Amino acid sequence: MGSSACDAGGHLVSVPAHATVYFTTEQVQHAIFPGASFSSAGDPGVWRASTGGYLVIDHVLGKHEYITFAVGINANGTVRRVEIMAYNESYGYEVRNADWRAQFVGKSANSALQLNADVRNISGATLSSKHITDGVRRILRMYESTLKGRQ
Amino acid sequence: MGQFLDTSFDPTSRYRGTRFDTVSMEMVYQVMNPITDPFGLALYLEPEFGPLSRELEWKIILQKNFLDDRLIVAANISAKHEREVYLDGSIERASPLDITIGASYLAFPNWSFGVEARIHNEFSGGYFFNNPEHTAYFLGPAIHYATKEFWVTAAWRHQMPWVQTYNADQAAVVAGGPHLWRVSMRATRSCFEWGCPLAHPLTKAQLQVEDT
Repeated sequence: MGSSACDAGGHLVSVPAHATVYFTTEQVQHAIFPGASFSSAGDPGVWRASTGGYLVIDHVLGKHEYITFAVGINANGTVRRVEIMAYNESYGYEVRNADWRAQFVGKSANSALQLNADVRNISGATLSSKHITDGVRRILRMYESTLKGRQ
Repeated sequence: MGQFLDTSFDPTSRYRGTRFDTVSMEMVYQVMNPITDPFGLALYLEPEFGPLSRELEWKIILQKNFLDDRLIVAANISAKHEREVYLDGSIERASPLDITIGASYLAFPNWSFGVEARIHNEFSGGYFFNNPEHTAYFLGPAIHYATKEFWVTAAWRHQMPWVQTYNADQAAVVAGGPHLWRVSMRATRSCFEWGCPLAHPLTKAQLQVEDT
């Protein structure tokens, strides 16, 4: 919470100089779409999988640094899998937990994707949970408005 | 120092001494989360006890986030109810009330820039804002750098020349200028804080240096 910097040691905000990298682009492509080959979909960070579907890599803000994540989208527009590729925060690493990420599987652009509604919050990782949820929702809407017509 | 040294002590001479001052406990309860609720609200309570001093400090901490949580606006309403016993046996009771408002923007990865304003109200003669003494206004910038391992905050606040006084004694203090720097309020206040998240194995340390 926002106490004054001078009076109460309360601290306001602040992204990556030395992020912990869990997946490279190639690794995450093959983790989410095993056996597929990939071609550029024309936009930075967006690839078309040979087996159908897309892989999108984006980043959202954590408390201090950017969180880089990947969303695999099936050919029918639902989420195949979400992976955290790089994370570098003091608190909130729980968003890497498979159980939490599994909540996104099957969601589509028609899903609410709201924290504390259809996506549960992680206590102590609220900011990361909210921003990743928002990030997945933005990617699904981008898929619906842009990528879907290219298939 | 007047609370611990009698009038025979030469204030220009060197002084060295060790004494137990006070022990305190800080408690904060988050009522509303600024990330998931419309705004954030937390309540803070800090009782403090010592042989010559007792104090109860409380705060109402409000926070509203904007622009995907990059812009944070916060306000603290805080008060203290103080009791100090002096060597001559006299007891001083006071109840300062502060309103602090700040805004901070995460402009770049790791770097936030902000501005803070403080309205300080001094009351004497009792625990419940009995006799108003003065109201002083402060304004200044703050800069914050944070990473996974540590954070640093530097802030500087200058007293604005709009002090208000509520009795003849206080009015006399500001007669020579618009500041209350010869009373409890200094003209400027700067602070530097360095800290580590408690989750980090190297932490549990926090260094705070203040200069006036």
